[in-house]
Amino acid sequence: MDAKDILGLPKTPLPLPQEKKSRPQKDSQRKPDGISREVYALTGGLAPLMPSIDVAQQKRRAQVENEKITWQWLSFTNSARKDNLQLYHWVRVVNGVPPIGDYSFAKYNKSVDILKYTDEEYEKYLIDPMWTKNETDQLFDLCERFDLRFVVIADRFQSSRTVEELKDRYYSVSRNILIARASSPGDVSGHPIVKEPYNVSQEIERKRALSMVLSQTKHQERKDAEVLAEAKRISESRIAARSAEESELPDTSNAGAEGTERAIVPADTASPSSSLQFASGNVAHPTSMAENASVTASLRMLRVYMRTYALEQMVQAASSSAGLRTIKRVEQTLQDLGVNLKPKVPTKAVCAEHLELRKEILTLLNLQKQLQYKEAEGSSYREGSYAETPSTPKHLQRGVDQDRAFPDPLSFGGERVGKRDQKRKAPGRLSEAPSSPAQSNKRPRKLKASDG
Amino acid sequence: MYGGDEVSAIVIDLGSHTCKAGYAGEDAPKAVFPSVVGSIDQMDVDDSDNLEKDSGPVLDSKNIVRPFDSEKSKGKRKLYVGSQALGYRRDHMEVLSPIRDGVVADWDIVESIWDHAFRDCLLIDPKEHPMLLAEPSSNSQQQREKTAELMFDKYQVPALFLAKNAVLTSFASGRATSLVVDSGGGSTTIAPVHDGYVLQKAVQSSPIGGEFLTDCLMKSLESKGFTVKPRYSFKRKEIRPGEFQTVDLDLPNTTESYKLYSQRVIASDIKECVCRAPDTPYDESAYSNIPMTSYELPDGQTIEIGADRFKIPDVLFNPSLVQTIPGMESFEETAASVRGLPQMVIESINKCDVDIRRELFSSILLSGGTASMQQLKERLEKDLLEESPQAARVKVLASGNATERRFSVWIGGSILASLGSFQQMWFSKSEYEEHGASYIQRKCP
Repeated sequence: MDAKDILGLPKTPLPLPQEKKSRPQKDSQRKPDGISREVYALTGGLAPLMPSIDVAQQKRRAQVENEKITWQWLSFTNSARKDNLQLYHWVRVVNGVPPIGDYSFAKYNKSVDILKYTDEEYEKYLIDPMWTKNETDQLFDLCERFDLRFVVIADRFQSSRTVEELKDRYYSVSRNILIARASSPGDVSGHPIVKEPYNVSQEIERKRALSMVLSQTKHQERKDAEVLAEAKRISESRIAARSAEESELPDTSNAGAEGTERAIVPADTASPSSSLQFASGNVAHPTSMAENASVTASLRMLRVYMRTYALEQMVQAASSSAGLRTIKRVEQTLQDLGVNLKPKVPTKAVCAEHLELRKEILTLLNLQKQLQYKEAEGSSYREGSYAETPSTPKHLQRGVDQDRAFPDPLSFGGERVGKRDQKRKAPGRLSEAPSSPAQSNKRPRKLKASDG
Repeated sequence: MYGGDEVSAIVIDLGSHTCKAGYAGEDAPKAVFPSVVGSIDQMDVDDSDNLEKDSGPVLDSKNIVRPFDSEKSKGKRKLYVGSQALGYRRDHMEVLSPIRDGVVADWDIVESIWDHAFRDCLLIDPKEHPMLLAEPSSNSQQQREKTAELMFDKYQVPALFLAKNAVLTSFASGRATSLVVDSGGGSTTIAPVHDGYVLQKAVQSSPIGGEFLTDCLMKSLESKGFTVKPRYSFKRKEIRPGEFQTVDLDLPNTTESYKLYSQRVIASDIKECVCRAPDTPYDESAYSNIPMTSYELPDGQTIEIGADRFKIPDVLFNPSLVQTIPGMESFEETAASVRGLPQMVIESINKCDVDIRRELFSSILLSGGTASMQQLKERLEKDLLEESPQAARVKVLASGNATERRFSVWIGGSILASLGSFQQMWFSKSEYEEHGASYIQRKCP
């Protein structure tokens, strides 16, 4: 607007430059007081969203400037100093009057309160076989100079003592003095050093542990990591194998045999390290058969798979078809053979073969019983006529193959880990070789011969 | 400035290679000049040598202030201080260093250096300014007392403080606790600082510093057949435009030490330009096919430097490499007992209390002229990561600016002397008169 004034142009707005005119109008309206127009124009000629300059503050500054401010190079004293050294610095002098008062930084001169003991107090309370008076005095002097920075004190101490020893001596001396000086024990019981005395042994132990942590180099860390990875791999492969076997035995109820199955891996694992994982996971499986429901339930919760228990279940399942007497006979046979009723070392292989064995014995006993029946029949028929032979071929077949060596089942059992029940039973029957009915073998053969 | 209060203190850092002096509160020293002096024994020579105007070209002046020869007649000796004075060749001028094996041996020379700093470079009267001096991290009581005596008796300073180099470097980076790796001209020192105090029992030092590396480089070049001619010993004439011919000058009265000094100046320039710390430990066969870098000597000769670029800095990490450099056999015994930089760092930290080790590992500071070598920080960090414990996080810090690394001690002093809460810690003249020089041990921990 005023540009037009200067130029002497008419104030009436011309139709063409109407946009331009509206802007200068706004500008002149909004120019605030207190700043010059040029400065305001620096902001782009528009008002800022938030008022950046407080008008009230500007008024205050003008008032202050009425006084005479000079800066002078004056000396000052510092109450934090014990001598009267006078240094010089720039001082803001108002109206010729230098500021009074202490040096503004003197208030930062803080120090720790260290108890000072007298000689008699030392004689009475503070004598310690490990420390001479000289050393104790020196310690306290250093404590005061370095404000209880024990790391630095230990560094500057004449004789080499560890930080814990120094701390121990300092805190015990302070504690003893406090207690000795107090009029009654109740007064000082609130003081932190009285309530919780410095525990040297704990500190030493803590530092030892920390130094062990810090002394493990990257090399060792890498080795440890490798070992752990290896162990994990092994246990995972075992889990895979275990779960494959598991799926064959539908009777097993606590088939929660994943994850923590590694817990039972006994000492025959290949991993050499004493890693904590194994130790913590190792639940000592109770060898006693007295497992009540609560234990099994809790175990099921932990998903721990206990082989002996599983074995027993499997045995029960397998022998459920037979009666009590039969089970007794099976067990009798086992004992005759010199096999423990419960395997001593219940590894997977051993348990599998044990089960195998039991089943085969069961089958054997069944067959023996059937044989006896048939023999009885046969003998009764013999009195009758020889014509009734259709039942014998079965006998023959069975009988011939009964001669096979007894230890076969064991080896078979070992091989046939993943096969189906039916498959196993069939060859099992063939490979049975009882010792008792040796004589009865002959008769079916004879019958065969005579038939042929 | 929060916490700041200027009392116009002067900060002086007398290193083994350069002396730095300036006002506290500024961010760089005003006076930087070599801390060696030229000395002419008065008995041998007349003063008329000064009139001889020889054509020795002027060295790059490290001195930013106006040139002025400082002559100090000290009985029988005339001492010349400052890079300008040293750059001018004089007959029979020996180059002497006041510091031998890390301790001050010749106090006259130190005086002359201080005089030069005060009167010629900074133009101050020591009576008016408190002085902050930087001292080596393992300085003996006797040295400190002598310093105090000299300052108070001769220069009449109002107040004095002696601060350790490592502490000042630590303050320059804003930390109270750190491990300072200071590799300067004369030696490399590793000092842990805890809460502003140096832990003296854990300080490690090795004689391998910038000057040692310069010597190695010189010997290596000589063995390859390149001679480094000092600047005063030749004159270049322009025969045709753009073409120069070098004429050797015969100056029989030049001392051996001066010649060596001039050669070292050139060699250290080569080292600063060309050398780099290798990423892996130096292996003769691996670096045999490295492309060569060329460097033009002042006399016009161009030399090619290949494997030496990496071999020389690797001496810091593996001192036994010195044995492979022909001509350095005299240092073999010392080099055998010296360990490399990463090993010294680990040793130093292991001598400290267990509680602070983690903090020291995570704040390792580099300072000193040699520390501004390229790739040094990365190489040190890599080596330390290998040898340090898993639980600790290793971090090597160095200010990005090479000037800051060189002057970090001085900068720390500048910060310290201008703090308001430091003003109570000065060792004043009245305290000196009252308690004697030994009181400095108490006042300047």
